[in-house]
Amino acid sequence: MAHQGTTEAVGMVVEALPNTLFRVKLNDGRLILCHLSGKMRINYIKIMPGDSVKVELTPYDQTKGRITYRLK
Amino acid sequence: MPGLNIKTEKEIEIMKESGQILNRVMETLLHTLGIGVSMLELNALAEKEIEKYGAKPSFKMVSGYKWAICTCVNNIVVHGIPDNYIAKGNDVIGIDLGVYYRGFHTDSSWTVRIKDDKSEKNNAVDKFLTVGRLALDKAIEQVLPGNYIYDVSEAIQTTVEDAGFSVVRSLIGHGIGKHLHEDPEIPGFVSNSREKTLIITPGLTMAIEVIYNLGSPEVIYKGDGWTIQTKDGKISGLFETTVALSDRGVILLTKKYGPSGDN
Repeated sequence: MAHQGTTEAVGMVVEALPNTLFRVKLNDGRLILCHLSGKMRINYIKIMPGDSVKVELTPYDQTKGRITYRLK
Repeated sequence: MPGLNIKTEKEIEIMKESGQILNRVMETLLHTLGIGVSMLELNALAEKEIEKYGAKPSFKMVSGYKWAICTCVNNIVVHGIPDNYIAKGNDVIGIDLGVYYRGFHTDSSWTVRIKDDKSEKNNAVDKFLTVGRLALDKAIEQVLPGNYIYDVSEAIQTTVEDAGFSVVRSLIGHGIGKHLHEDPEIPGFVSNSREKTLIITPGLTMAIEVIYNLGSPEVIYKGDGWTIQTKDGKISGLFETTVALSDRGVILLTKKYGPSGDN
């Protein structure tokens, strides 16, 4: 469930950057920077380029998001 | 994830203390777990015990997570939220626990089959759990100076797959210390050439995890936003210990247990 005021989108990880940052290409073609949601951080979830992910975006900065799920 | 943090002998000593607290709490939890015990009761016990030793539950420090442990029942792979589920005979239940003490985390998981009075043996499930414990043993044997993370990963993969089970691909072990997750990544499978993985050197502290399924390796999310379960609904197992490599060899900062969570 997205937080209030946020929107969800689906995309694909194109690059893993340092400090759990990822470049994600959304299905609408936008390229954004994403960090991992806290929900992915008790067990270490491996995110790799090519993975399909669900991303939460805030209306305030559409160039950044957070990955809430690895879809496959 | 914070980068690679090589620990001093002094830091490893503090992590040993953190691990000893974790061991005592885990022993109490595994001893208590049985038919009729609810997952919420186990969580409350974990909180009480961790506090008793002057430590903090690592998992409560993770944003949005309000529990001290994860309880992974049957087809739950990881992030099972403790709820009012009551353990019954033949359930396969994994407890995942993290302890934060004097600035350092240790992390451990153990999975057991709940003994049922009527069917003392369940060969298929017991064999599955035996393989997980063996894979963890084999992985720890590879924690040697000059070896690569690849060797640890390969030991897990070979042991699990030779027995006909599968290693989950999206969940992996990790370095640990001031942060719950640090470099390096420690998968239970190989995906790179040996030399492309990190070389193991003294001062490395790692949470080695065997996360594997009876059926296929695919996992899916449950609706609560946390829980990850097997896609085919078959059981999953999780065995994890925190280890350090010191100048004097490998140290198990958290313990390994027997089939019933005994020592």
